[in-house]
Amino acid sequence: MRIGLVTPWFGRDLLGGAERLAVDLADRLAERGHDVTVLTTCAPSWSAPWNRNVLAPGISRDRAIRVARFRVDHTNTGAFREINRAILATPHDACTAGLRVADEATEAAYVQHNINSTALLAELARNAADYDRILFLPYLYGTTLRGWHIPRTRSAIVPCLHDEPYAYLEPVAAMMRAAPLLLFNSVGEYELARRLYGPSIDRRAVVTGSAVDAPRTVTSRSPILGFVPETTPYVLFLGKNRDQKGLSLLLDAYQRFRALDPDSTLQLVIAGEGTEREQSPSVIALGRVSDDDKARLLASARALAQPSANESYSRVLVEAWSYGRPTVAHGDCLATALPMRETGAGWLATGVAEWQRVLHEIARADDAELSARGERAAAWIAQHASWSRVIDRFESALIDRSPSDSTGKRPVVHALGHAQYGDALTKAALRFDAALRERGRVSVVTARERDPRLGGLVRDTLDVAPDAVRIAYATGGLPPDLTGSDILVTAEAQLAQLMQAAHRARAVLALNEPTQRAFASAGIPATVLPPAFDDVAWNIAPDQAMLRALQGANLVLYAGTVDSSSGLLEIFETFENYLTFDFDARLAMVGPIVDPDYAEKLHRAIESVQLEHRVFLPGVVSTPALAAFYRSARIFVCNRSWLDTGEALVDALAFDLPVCATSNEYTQSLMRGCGVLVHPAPRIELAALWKVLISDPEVRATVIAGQRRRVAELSASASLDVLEAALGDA
Amino acid sequence: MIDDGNRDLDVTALMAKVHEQIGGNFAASLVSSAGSIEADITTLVAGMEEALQAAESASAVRTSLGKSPMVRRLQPFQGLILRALAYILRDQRNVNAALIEALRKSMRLNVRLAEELDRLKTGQSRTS
Repeated sequence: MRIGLVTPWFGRDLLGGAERLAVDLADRLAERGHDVTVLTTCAPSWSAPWNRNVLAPGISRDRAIRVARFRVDHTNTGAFREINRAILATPHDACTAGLRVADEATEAAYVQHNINSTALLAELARNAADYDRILFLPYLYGTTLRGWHIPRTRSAIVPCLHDEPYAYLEPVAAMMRAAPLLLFNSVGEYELARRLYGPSIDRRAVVTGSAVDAPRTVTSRSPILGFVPETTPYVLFLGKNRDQKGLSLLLDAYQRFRALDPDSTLQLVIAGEGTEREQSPSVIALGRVSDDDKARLLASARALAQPSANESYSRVLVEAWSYGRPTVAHGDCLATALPMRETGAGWLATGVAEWQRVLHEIARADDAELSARGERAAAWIAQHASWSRVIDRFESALIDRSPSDSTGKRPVVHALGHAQYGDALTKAALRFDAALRERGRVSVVTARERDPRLGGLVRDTLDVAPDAVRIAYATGGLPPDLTGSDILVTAEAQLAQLMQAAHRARAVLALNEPTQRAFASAGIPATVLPPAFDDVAWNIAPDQAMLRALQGANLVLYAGTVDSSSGLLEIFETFENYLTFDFDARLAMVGPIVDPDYAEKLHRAIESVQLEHRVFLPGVVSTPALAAFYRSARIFVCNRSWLDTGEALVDALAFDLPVCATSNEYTQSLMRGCGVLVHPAPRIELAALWKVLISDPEVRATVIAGQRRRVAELSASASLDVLEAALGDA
Repeated sequence: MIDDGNRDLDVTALMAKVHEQIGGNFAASLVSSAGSIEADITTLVAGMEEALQAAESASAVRTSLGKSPMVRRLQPFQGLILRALAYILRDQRNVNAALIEALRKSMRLNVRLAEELDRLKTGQSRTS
């Protein structure tokens, strides 16, 4: 494979995590025989001016790698500093997934005055086709933000994402939504990306992991700036001294620890760029150290402290484990907390008091106990942090997965009687239409009547190719003009006329299992067309105004049609009880109002207890607005007596909302043992169950893990395979 | 109440958490049955259920002070007043909810007893 790697700075002496990763990836991919070209700038490092060309432009050879350097643009560093300061000043609790942290002009200026190279972009525009894949890393610099879309399908982002204000900028979110391939260094980094950009990243996301070199054996015992690691008990911090790296938290905790235990011999050693500036008493500040000194420091430390909450993969944490040393990591950093929980090879601490407590524990523990703790990560390292496995995963991800060839097959027409905005069957037809087109088929959706809000997505029935295969969607009545060559797709089998019509169809696809069983009992073979998460439709920015309006209180969500079978009156009554536990809560019942009388009854019930300002009943809303509801909600509730496509429930599963639904044959077959299904019970008990699902982290995590497994089974491709099988070779 | 289809969940532990939320344990749910009870008992039960529903509705948390002109003057402080009321009356609401539930269960028990009596009476008349 010919692989390009775009990164703002490249050099073997650079110490930043992303810079080291770029070198490692280039080396290891080249070792596997790939032709690797690094496309980078003439700026030497992150700490040098971003608009000054220090290194010479042109092509050079670095071991097996071709390095192409391009001149940086003369961006305005003063303006960038101002913008950057403003963005970084966003408090962490003001960063909400899906909400932008800066206005459009600020975001545009951030990209414009970042490190940029027009010459590099021009090279990409000229020669991107020469590469099989072009990797961009990390996510927050101009070379990535302005370059990733040039190679289009060939680009792959290695974001090295952190939970920091930059990650909430719209240019970053747009890239994460549209890039064809996202490669993550850790499960924690992937989880963060999923939370920030939504479940639609799943199909394009691969956790490749990252690795560290094998431990070095160093025999020297000479002092490092007067400090001999082998003779003193110490906790080690290794990293850049930057605000985001959490060093001040560690220093604060250490000073408190010393104040309580002044006789302790436990030292704090800090090493890395800028650490020499720290002048705290009892802290040994070494500044930047050589690789040999770093190895000695790691090998002799009682434990390594990683207080940063902004990591996509903590290299030093894994390095410490590779030396058999235990580590302390920040409890709010998913990328480090997840492997820490998995291995148990150290401690998690969040606030300063917890860090202080852990320092006491490290000071008290004997050597054998600490070593035993560090050794717990050995199996994890073999599985996740060996380069051969990481590069295996990279190679497998980088192989282009071309869509199946559908050339020469007949066009497909999805025929609806009445195409309605927000209607489940219409959405299903549109989903299949888009997916078939993605597989290279000619496909259109037609309807006799259509909601004007559907725009050009649905055409007139007359506007159809004569040789097309027709898929007729039936709901609430007979499908339009069903013929023997049509495929019938339906979610109901109660209508006698529909049953008769089904006999004439070439194939019957049932949108749920109970419908399929009903057809089967009438002697009509039907196949279940399983529901799927429509990651294409949901790959959008949520409505900002709606998302903002929905913050600040726990939101209980129902999405689906509002009709007499929706059981919404009972849901509302349960919500009244729920307010006993959660006074600020809100309830949203979103979806097309199919039965206005029922909606009126619901309105009256809401008004009778003056809960209008707590309960939203907006009818059908736009997809970005619905995305805002899904992104803001804490629980999804469903009391329907039957489901058509079950799509709203699948969406809830994908958006990681614990689902609490009434148990019936529809929900049982769709959920297959995930979520929480309930039988009739007093409202107060149901309300208390909602409360547990919303606020109990353990129960929530268990339920969501099960739901993730189920949504993985409900893939769009599995559903489309069933449809294509019904289409046969047409 | 909770379906045992989800193998990842310990339903008993989850129900314990539910009861913890409510603030007290409920007795095991009584089996409801739709036996043949006499029409006057059915009417009586329907009336009791109606009264219970009214009590249940009135015991819900208020999130508005209403729309009367007098109350309108308190509008700026509505949030604060409601919060205070919700906090002060929290225990009372829990008691009310538990009492309503107990009454409802007591009612079901009465229905079952009435059914049993009915069955016994029927059996006695056949044997005599």
